[in-house]
Formats: sequence, structure tokens, C-alpha cells
Amino acid sequence: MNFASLFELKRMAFRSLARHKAKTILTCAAIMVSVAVYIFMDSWIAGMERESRRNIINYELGAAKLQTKMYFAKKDEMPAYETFQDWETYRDILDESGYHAAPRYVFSGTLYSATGSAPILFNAVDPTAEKRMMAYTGYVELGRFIREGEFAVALGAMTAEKLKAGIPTRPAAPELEEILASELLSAADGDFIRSCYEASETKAAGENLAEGGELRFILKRNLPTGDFDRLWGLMDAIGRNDVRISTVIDLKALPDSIRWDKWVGELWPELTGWEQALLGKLYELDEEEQLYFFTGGGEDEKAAALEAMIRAGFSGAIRHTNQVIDVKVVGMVNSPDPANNFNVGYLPLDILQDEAGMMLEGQVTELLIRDKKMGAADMTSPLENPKTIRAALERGLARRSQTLPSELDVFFWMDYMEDYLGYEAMESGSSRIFSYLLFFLAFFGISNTMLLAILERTKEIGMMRALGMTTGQLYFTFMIEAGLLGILGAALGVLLGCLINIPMVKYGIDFSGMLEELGGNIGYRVAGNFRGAWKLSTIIGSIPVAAVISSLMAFFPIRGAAKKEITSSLRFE
Amino acid sequence: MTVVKAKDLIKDYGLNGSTVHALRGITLEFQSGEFAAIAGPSGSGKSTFLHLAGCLDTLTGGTLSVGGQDVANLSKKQLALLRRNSLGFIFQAYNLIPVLTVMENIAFPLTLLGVGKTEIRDRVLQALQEVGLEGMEKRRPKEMSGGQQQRVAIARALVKRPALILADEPTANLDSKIGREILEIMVKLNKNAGTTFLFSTHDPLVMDYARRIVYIRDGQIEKDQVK
Repeated sequence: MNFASLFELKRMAFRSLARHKAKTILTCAAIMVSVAVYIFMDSWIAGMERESRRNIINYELGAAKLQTKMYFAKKDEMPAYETFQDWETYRDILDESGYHAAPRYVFSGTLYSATGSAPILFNAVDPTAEKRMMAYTGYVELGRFIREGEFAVALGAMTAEKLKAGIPTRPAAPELEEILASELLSAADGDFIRSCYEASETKAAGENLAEGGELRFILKRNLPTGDFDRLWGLMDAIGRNDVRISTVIDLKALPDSIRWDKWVGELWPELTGWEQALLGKLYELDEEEQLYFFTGGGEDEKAAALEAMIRAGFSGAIRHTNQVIDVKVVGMVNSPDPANNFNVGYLPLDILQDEAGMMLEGQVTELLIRDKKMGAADMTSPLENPKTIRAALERGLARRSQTLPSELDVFFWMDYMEDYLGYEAMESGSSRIFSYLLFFLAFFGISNTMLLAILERTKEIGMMRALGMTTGQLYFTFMIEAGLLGILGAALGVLLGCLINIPMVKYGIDFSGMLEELGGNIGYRVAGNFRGAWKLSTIIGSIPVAAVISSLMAFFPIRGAAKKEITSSLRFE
Repeated sequence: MTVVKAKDLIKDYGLNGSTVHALRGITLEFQSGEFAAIAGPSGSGKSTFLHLAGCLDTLTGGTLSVGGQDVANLSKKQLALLRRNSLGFIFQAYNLIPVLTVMENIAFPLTLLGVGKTEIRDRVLQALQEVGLEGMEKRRPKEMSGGQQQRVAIARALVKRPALILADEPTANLDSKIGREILEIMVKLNKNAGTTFLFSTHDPLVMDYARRIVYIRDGQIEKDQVK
């Protein structure tokens, strides 16, 4: 059988579609809807993923980080004791090589305000460097970003609101009354504060009430900058912005003595052979006291022993010192990345250097790195490959007759966000399963349509087989018919999906209200306006995929017809 | 030349749990150029024999050769190719493909044979002329009478010039006048082109035209009459 005859069979398949118009239209409509929904959902997921990844890079991590290998290995524990020095040298080298670099010391603690407390992830940053490369610094909605040398914190807006710090944006009537009742405010100040708020009447009845049923006030959106500053100043004056950080300073230190049971139970089993030999040399057991005592050793041996203990997760190698730092809230961060807006605080790095801070003495936990050419809307560039960055660092250090310490390495943002990427894969997987299901439901419709079509044409099939049509040709004819149905439905679906996608990609949908109800975090690093993204592979691929699936769906009904005796088919009524 | 050769042909099939002996050892031969009918009452086995001779069904016992090939040893695909290359069929209910035009219906067996487009057109037009349907090639089956549809079916059967045309009750759905016209066409084709026709029928009109009538009753040959 040649190509021309296959073409004839294809023509017959096409005519058969036209013969059963109602069935064809209904099945096409089902495929169209499922393909359109698939394209829409795929675009949405792609949009969320792209936006999230972009936000992580530009608002949270930078493209890569320089930090100790041990910190990276224990990153889930946030080992604030895993610090390094001389970051200024690395920053300068990176700067010469076309990178922005911003130092950070990251630690956890509790933030206390006059009304409550919250666990916070603190980022002690160099405000100038941070402003240069991190986009969240442009999203300080109320107040301002921190400055060098001031005991100040810029808080995630949601946390600030929860702790009743800074300017309240949606205070309930009692909260506002409490502010106004402050003796530190004059009557004029009170009147001014009142004038900054309104009970939102545009909202549906009930929505402007707080949980207790009290009236809720909304901060006027378009207040002049001067009014904002005055309002902030008044909040500051009544002590609303005074907060206290309670944290623990973790320092690595070789213990003078280790209890026998800890040595045997916790430390020894976790050590490698050479580490055991080293510690066996540096410590000696006092059987009477049941303690291992440090007996002395060289600086290198002491450093190696300490690293071995840290690597083994031995808690005795970390000294903890409680610390309290009083700071003032100077601004509220409300960025497109929700990770910046919740339980996150930004402090100037320089205030933490001595005993009044975190006794850092020039140490940081990380250096964020970004290609200078990349903007806030960009993903990463090839220059941001960790190996490329590392090579640039090594070259710069070699020019200074230095080498990169072995404990340091450059880590790509993706290495750092395995949890998020896992979540992303799971989320997109589950959403895709839903759309696949929809997809397959529609294609079962094809199977049904083909089953009916084949049943209806049993006699016709018997005749065609009597005239010499082989089983293969029978499969070809009907699978082409089903495939055409799939192509037609998918083409319409692509058209519909693209039409829906145009506003989705251009404007997106604002889900900020829903997001707030959900506590602001849905896993994706998107703050509220969810936008789609064009995914050409899906759009182009939908039609052939639909054709293939449709054809396959017709397989079983055809097999039934092919198995039937020709004489039975001819007698079929 | 022997077109169909059956020896001790047996066909049994199951029906509602019991076995029906449709053919009980038939021995029969048909030569090229014959215009023969297999006659008998309903359930006698005449259609069963025609189906076996047309390779539409499988035999239970005995031997059967069609166009010189032992059909019992042929695969499903080989049987399909034998039907495609050597046999033509005319059915009682015409069995035309409703979505195709007259031209396309008649061309269908040639399409399966892989004949070129121009040759198909020439042969279809000639077949249409032979059955007296010139100018109707663009019509659809539903736009034609029963007699015209049966003519199309004849044209479809003869267009590939098969060694044997099997016609299962071809006049059963037609009135006697139209039936006679159809049979006249077949006689003419038999005489002019030498096409072998084998009918299964209980229509006296067909038996009038047939030059040989094999009477079958209860799956056995009752009489083999050559006029």
C-alpha cells in the first residue's frame, strides 16, 4: 500500500468526522476545554516558578554565596558560629571582576515589642552594599531602610504589624485609641493621627471590623511624604518602635574538659580514624573525675580538633552566650517576595561587632554575590556560575599572593534552596497531575466517541475487511480519525488557552487578599499578584500530544472491531 | 481453470451453547467463467458456503482452495490480501460507505490495491459505464435508489477485475424489474469479461439466469444442476 492510498484512507477518516457532526463537536469541545485549562495552568505554574526564582535571587539570596563549607553542610541549623573573616578582600576582588558582593551575618533570635514577641531571622547587613544588589531595599513601604552605625532594624511588614511596631496600617479602634491615649502626644498630634486614618466604607459591610467586632481603621493611601514622616516620628516618640532582640551568641571553642559519657556516647562514634587519633593525643582521661582533659597541642592541631568536633555535631564545642540588643524599628519591608515580609529583620552589620552586639569582630556568615549587569527583573547570568565566581576569586587572591581558605566555597542559589525547589517540584507536579487528569478525561471522551462510531459502523468495517482491508489499515483509518479529532480539539484549545493567557501574562490576578488570609505564605515566593508566563513548548506541543493520545485512545475500540468475525460484522444491525 | 475447489467441506459453529452443523462435507468445484447459484432454503448452508469461498470465514473440516490457494493454511493477513487481489463481493444490503461518493466507493478496492490516481479514475468511469451509471460518480449513496446502489456495489466488485465475484442474495432487496436489470448487467459482464459469478440465493429470478444451480439442504448437496 502506497502513500496515495494512505491519503485516501485519511480522507475517509476526515469525512467520517464530518458525518457525525454533533459527536465531533462535543468531543472537540471537551478536548478544547481540557487543553485550554492545561495551557492556562501550565502558564500559571511556569509564571509562579519564574517569579519565585527571580524573587529568591533578587530579594533573598543573590545568585550565589561565599561561605564556609561547614555552614553549607549545616545550613538547616543556621550555624551562626560558622563565620569567616577578610570578607572585604573577597568583596573587592569580586568588585574588580564585575560582581556585587554584600556581607551578611545571619542569626536567629526573638524580637520583643511592647505588645508581644516573635521569632525572627535577623540579617545583619552592610546597608550600602545591600541597596546596591538586593531589590527588597526598594520596598520599605513605611519608614526607611537602616543606616550604618544605628541600632535600628527594618522589619518585615507583616511581623511589624503583628508586633504593633511602626505605623499601624489597619488598626482596630482600641489599638488606635491606645495610641491616642499616650501622654506623650499633644491634642494636635492626636488630631493629626486621626486624620491619617479612615474607616473604609468602600469595603463590604463587616469587612472593616476587627475580630472582636470593633471598627477597623485604614491608613490613608496617599498621605504626603511629610505626613508619613511626622506619623512615623510620633509613633517613635510614644515608644512604639522600641524593640529588643534576644539572641544567643554561638562561638566555636575547644572545650577544656569533656565528660566521659559525652566523649564515649556523642563524640567518639562520630569521628573518623584520624580525628580519633588527633583527639586521643590532645585529651587525656582522668579516671577518677571521669573527665577528658585537654592536655595541650599546636595551633593547627587545635584548629583541626575543633573542626572535627563541629563536623561531628558535638555540642560541647559551641559556647553559648545570651545577648540582648535594644534597637529601634525604622522601616517596614513589604517586597514582592513574601519571605522578606514575615519574621525577617535587617540590622546594620557594623553595630554587631563588639560586646554591645554579637562580638563579630569583622566576621560574617556569608557574602552574597550578583553579576553587576543583572537587574531585579533578571534571573542569573553565565557569569554567576559558582565555578566562574570561584575562579575569579582565586585569580584575584593570587594577584595578592593569597589563596582562598580551604574551608570556604561558593554555592549557587539553587544549592541553597533545595527545600524550596523540592516544594516547587511537588506543587507543580500536583497541579500538573490535576490538569493531566482533566486532559485524560477528555481523551476518554474520544475513546467513547470512537467506540460509538465503530459500533455504528460495524457493518461498514465488515465490508471494508471483506474487500481486503487488513487489520493494520483498519487501525490506521480509525486512529487517524481519532487523531484528527484530537488535533481539531487541541488547536481550538490552544487558541482559547492563549486568549485566556494574554491578560494572565500581562496583568496577572491579584490574590493578595487571599494570601493575607492564608498567613501570607503559600510556599511560592510570590507576594500576591500571580502572573502567568508563556510556555511555548506546551503551546506547540499540545497539538501533537493531543493527536497521539487521541489516536491511542481509539486503539481499544478498534481492536474490538478487528477481532470480530467479518461475517458477524456483516450481519450486525 | 478451477476457481473454487471444496472437498468434504465442514463448517460447525456454536449457537446458544449447542453446535450447529452448517456444512456437513460438501465437495464442489467451480470453474472460471461460470455463472452459478447456490440455492436452498433459509439455514440450508448456502450463505455459509459463499462466506467460506469468499475467505470471510474459517472452515471446520475438509479442504478448500480459492484461486489455487489452500485457504486453511493462510494467515489473517494473507486471507485479506487474497480477498483484495482476487475476489469481489456484492451484498444484499449493498454496504456502500455513506461518507464517500460513488466514485470513491468504487475506487475503494483499487485504493487498497495501491493503484495510481489516474488509473483509478479511468477504471471507475469504465465500471460505471458497464453498470449504466455514467455521470453519477459525484453522488452519495443516500442520493440513489436501491437499484442504483446495487449497481454501484457491482461496479465496486468488478472494478478490480477479480477472478471471482461472490454475490450474497443480490436481488433480495430489489423489486423484480430492478432485479432483472441487475442480473442482466452481471450476465453481460460474465459474457463480455469472462468474470466468474457465484450467487447464494433463493430468488427464482436469479436461478432463471444461473447456468448452474447447486441445491443445498441441511448442509449437504441435494442436487448439482447444469442447464
